Amino acid sequence: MKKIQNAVSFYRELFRSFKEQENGHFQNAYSAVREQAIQQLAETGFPTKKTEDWRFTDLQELLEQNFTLAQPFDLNQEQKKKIESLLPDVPNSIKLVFVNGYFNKEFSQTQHLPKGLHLEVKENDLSSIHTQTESNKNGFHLLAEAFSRQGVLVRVDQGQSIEQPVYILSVSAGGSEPLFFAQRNRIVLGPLSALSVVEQHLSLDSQPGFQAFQTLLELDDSARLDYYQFQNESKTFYHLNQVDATVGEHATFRSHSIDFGGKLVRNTIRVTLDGTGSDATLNGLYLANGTQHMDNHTTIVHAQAHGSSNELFQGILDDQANGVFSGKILVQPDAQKTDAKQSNNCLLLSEQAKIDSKPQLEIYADDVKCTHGATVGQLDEEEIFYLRSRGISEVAARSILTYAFAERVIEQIKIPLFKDQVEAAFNAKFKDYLTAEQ
Amino acid sequence: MLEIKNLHAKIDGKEILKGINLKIGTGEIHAIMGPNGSGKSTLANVLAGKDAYEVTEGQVLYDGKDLLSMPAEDRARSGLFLAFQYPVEIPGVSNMYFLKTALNEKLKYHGQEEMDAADFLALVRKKMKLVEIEDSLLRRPVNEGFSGGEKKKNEIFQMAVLEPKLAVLDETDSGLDIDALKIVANGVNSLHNKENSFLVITHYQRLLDYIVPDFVHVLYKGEIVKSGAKDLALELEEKGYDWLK
Repeated sequence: MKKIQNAVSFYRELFRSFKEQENGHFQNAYSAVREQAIQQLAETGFPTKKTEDWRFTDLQELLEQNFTLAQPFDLNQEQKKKIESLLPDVPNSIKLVFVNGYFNKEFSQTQHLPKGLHLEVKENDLSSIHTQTESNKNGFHLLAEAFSRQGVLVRVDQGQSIEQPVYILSVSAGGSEPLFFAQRNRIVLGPLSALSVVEQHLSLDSQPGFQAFQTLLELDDSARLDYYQFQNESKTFYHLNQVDATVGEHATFRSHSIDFGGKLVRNTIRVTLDGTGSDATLNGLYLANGTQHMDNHTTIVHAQAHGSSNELFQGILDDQANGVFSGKILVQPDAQKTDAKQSNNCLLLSEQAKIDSKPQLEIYADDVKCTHGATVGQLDEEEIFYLRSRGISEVAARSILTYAFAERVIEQIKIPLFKDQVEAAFNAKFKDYLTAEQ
Repeated sequence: MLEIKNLHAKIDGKEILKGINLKIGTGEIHAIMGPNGSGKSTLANVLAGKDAYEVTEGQVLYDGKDLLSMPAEDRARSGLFLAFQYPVEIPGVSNMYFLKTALNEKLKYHGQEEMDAADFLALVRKKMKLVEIEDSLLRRPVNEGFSGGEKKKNEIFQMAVLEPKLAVLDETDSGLDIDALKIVANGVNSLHNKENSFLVITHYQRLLDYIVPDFVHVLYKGEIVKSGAKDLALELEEKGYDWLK
């Protein structure tokens, strides 16, 4: 408890310097939200291991660490080249780049937008991004509210189907001092509109840090959003990410959370199917080694009838890595004819790797179909032998089977350029495992 | 081609093979028959190199090489093929990718150039006809959701593509209806030539109506108790295995 109190005082202090730094820029409609968030943090504090939703994720190291507020940062040539290589090499592709939480005009491209798409980078006054009236916000949620300097507001007009994906790239770079930054984004899709968003969190070097990230997604009736989150930060990074999506009548929401990097990663994803016949797909892929800790907490609320949800999380854990999967499906009384599927599979490549898996079904309607399944284990020796018996080496067989396991999620990525990027990152990380085995 | 000398093997501490002797010449088809539990599948798995089986005594010479000292993948690359009794399903790995990788591993092993996608496709088209396997099955993950018969056909199809020198068919006939059985047998017969050999393991004589063996051996309680020409299979069909005890 004491440590958490210390952490609360630390962030209150940090907030004071945050305000001083901005030198009065915060006197706007959003100021009260920031103040209130810090106030509330003082009251509720951070989650502990006794908090049910955080039982399996030890926050002690994070909360004991002192971070410095990220400052605007001048990129050198080498860093610029790296950023370029991370962005799609397509003329006029829509890109929003943030470096240590600061918007970078040089690499962003927000001109020549297709008809019906609106992008705004909000600064200081984030009122138009803040709509949340949720009551039980946790400490990290509150940090994002208080400390976010900038945020993106994306809007798609009614009936507009945007073909080009919107890339949001958040990179960290710099030195060795641990940095803290936060960001809030909001994506709003009008009725019958469609959009794809690729959000990436990457490190240019081994810059340590802590990022609190929060995204609000609103899909109006019959809208469709393909939302990709790819995190491959340095292994010294704490990544606390929260997504709240509201899905309207006959709207389709597809989310893919892919995590290969970070020291401690927590994705809290909450989807509310708020209209009849709405559909959500929640996919996840995490590949952890060393002492990485990756935690996925998902909640799907079926609030209306005829909704469907399909959830697939595939985890691969090596060395002493830890994984957590908690998937809650809540079917409210009005949500008759709900069809919900959840599947969480985890491959443990070493004896010290560990997964805590917790499916939860809470059903208050009587005419529904809900299934969940979880598997935890090693690669199947029979499958390995089958491949070997055809002339494929054991190392190659293990690689093929592990890749096939990940492929179940990767194959659902519908943007070829981005899919290639994820595949390359997977292979790069996985190669370490294979060479270590030999 | 293959010479098995006094082969003893056990699994989980239990001795299953108790001194097998068998010689298969190049171009020959041998059949091994025997009741359940006689060690037929154990023999097949030991030859293919499955780690779970421990060879306690004996020797196997394959093309003059010590087969038992070779890892499973090298046995396959040098031309040994096992058609499994129960082929496993491998979700997420497409048949085509799997087979192309396997074939290229073999070519690499023999210092030959790897096959590109176009040549491989042409080869596949040719071999598909042999076993009457549908194109759609090949696009699917290895054996996933295949019926029993489709899995066995896929084994023969893989055999056709990999063109082994010695193929061991482990109860490939089990669970097949007569049409599928004929297709499988046709596949084997059309692949058979003077340069390659087959070891057909079966419980029933039925398959041997279509694949005619040069020699028939009876495996009983881990030993070959009787060998003869193809007529032996008919005799076994008539009398069962009891008279051998």
